[in-house]
Amino acid sequence: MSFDTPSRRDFLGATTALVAATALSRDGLAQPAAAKHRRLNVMDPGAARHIASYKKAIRAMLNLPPTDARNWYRNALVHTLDCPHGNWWFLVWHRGYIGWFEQIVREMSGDPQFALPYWDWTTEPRMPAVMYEDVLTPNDPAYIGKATEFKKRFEGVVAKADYWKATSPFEDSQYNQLLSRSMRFPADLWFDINDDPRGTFFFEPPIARGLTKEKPGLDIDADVLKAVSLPTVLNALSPRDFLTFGSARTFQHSGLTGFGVLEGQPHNLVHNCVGGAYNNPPTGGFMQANLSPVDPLFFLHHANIDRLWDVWTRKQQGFRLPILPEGNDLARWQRELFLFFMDANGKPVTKTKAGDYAAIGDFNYDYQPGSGEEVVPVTPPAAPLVAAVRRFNADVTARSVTASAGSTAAATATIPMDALAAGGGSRVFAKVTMSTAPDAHAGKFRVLIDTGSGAPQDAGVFAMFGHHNVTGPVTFTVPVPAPSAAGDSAGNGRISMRVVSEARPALHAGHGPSAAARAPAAAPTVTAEVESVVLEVH
Amino acid sequence: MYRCYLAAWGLLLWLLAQAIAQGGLIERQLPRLPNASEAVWARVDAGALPPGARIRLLTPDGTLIGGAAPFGGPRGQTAASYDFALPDNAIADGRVRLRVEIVEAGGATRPPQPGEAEVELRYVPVTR
Repeated sequence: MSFDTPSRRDFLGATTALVAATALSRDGLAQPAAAKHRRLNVMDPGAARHIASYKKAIRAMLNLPPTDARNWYRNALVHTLDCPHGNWWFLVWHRGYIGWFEQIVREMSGDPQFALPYWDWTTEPRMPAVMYEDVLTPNDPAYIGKATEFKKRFEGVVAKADYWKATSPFEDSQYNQLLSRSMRFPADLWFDINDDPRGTFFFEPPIARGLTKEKPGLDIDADVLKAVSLPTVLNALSPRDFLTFGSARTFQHSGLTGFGVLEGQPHNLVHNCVGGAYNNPPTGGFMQANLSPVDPLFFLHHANIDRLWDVWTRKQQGFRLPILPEGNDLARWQRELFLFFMDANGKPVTKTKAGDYAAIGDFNYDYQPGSGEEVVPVTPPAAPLVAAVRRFNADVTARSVTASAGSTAAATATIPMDALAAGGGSRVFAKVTMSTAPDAHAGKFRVLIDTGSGAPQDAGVFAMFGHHNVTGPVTFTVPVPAPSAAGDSAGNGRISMRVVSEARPALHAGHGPSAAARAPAAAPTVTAEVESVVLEVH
Repeated sequence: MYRCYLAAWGLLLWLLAQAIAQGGLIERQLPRLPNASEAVWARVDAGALPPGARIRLLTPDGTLIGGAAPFGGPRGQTAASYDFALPDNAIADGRVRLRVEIVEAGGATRPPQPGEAEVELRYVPVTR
């Protein structure tokens, strides 16, 4: 068996670039080198010059032909075609998107010092007044006023775009990614934008933005006000692992799985609120749907989200905790392809992987401190916190699990007692990976811990649910008791466990006159093979 | 081939998903109180919500815990989970008591329909 601590190795690997750029401060806490660009709070008087450049760039981008990738609407369409939401790529994709946008604005405004302001809705829970000035609102006459006109101007360039082509290797192509979003051809995109009866993406003035100059406050809805409040932001920043902080793991970045606090509450509710969804009656607004970057506010909103990710990262570093997904998750997360970003010259960027945007890196910006900054420790803790997770592979001595008596899987793991917190504060979990039959629906597996004295301890039951055709190994997590004392002279604790199959209950036959005919004569048993057992110490 | 993770969090199986009782109330005995470096969070697994709708979590006395809504994602993919950090006053005598509401477009509220949402409670390691 091996003692595996991928979390610490991955943590060090992931922060190499950051460490290379740091110098120790007086108090010994590593500080990043000063960034070239500082993103300011939009309410700061110093932001005025950036806002002026922003206006200039927006006008220029609105006036570019549709064939130029830096055209205002072409840039917004990148989001429509490719944005991840409700998954663990949400933060990193948007960091890349607004980072490249910031560079386009520098180019189009002629201001190489431009830095995106951010909207700190915690301290300013209302639309910044400046965002109602000329081209800073999509209700301005400079914008396309009709959905039909928008389609007329952009239909041709969209139809000719390379992203509809099945290039090789197909699995790495833009078209493959569009198919995962149910976009088979341009007509699907236009349906989403203009014709979907469930809600369109294009909004015509005066409802191109839902929150008005007369009623700009987020307090039109108590949920939104709560979502942007400091307690909610602090809760969003509190998790010690990336997956809880940054939204749910999923298979590809167009898959919507689950929303963490930061994304599901302030991010989503502000989008919907500015987009008019919570007006009474609901109105419209680009911000409520995937063409939201048409509204210039989008980029200030996402600058604040990115700022909070930066706050969380620095907090984690201060506590010596991981800043990215760990173990095998890190590799999966880093290698996801983002193929639609454009640079300041309107050309496809060469940095096409999620891992390229894990750190702010070459975008070379930092943030004026804002809400939530208080979670970053000023001085390092007296003792580093234990790494969030340590992992130990168990020896699987018997793999097959059937409902036959005596046919159980078995595994034994050894955990150094010094990996456990003093006083019994550690939590230990067994991650059991099994291959099951395709019809494993409702099959149950019980985990028993052999304590060495008396009856085994029941650690819990796990079962299949929902997927009727399992096509790959499945991993279940079961809490197990930590060893209370060393079991050998080397100071290691020992956990021995068995996995037992329990016959699944007879399938429910339903109701109605034919129910009896549908009832199965006997419930079939479930078989499985245990492929691995990993013990995690939290 | 992707590996399919059905149990996303440790201790999830101790705190099985609880179907929401009539009226949107959920009450659950915690197996233990959270320790100093943990917080109890609720994860609401919701099916596809009507357009413009959101999930709202409250304490039984009506104090707002938070609201969350879907945004983005390809059309038709609105089924998702939503995380909420629970305040201390949602836990009393080791029991968590919550109320779940669906807020529809226009502001009308109602309890979830049977099977529309489930709540899981989780111990989340946090910094303080």
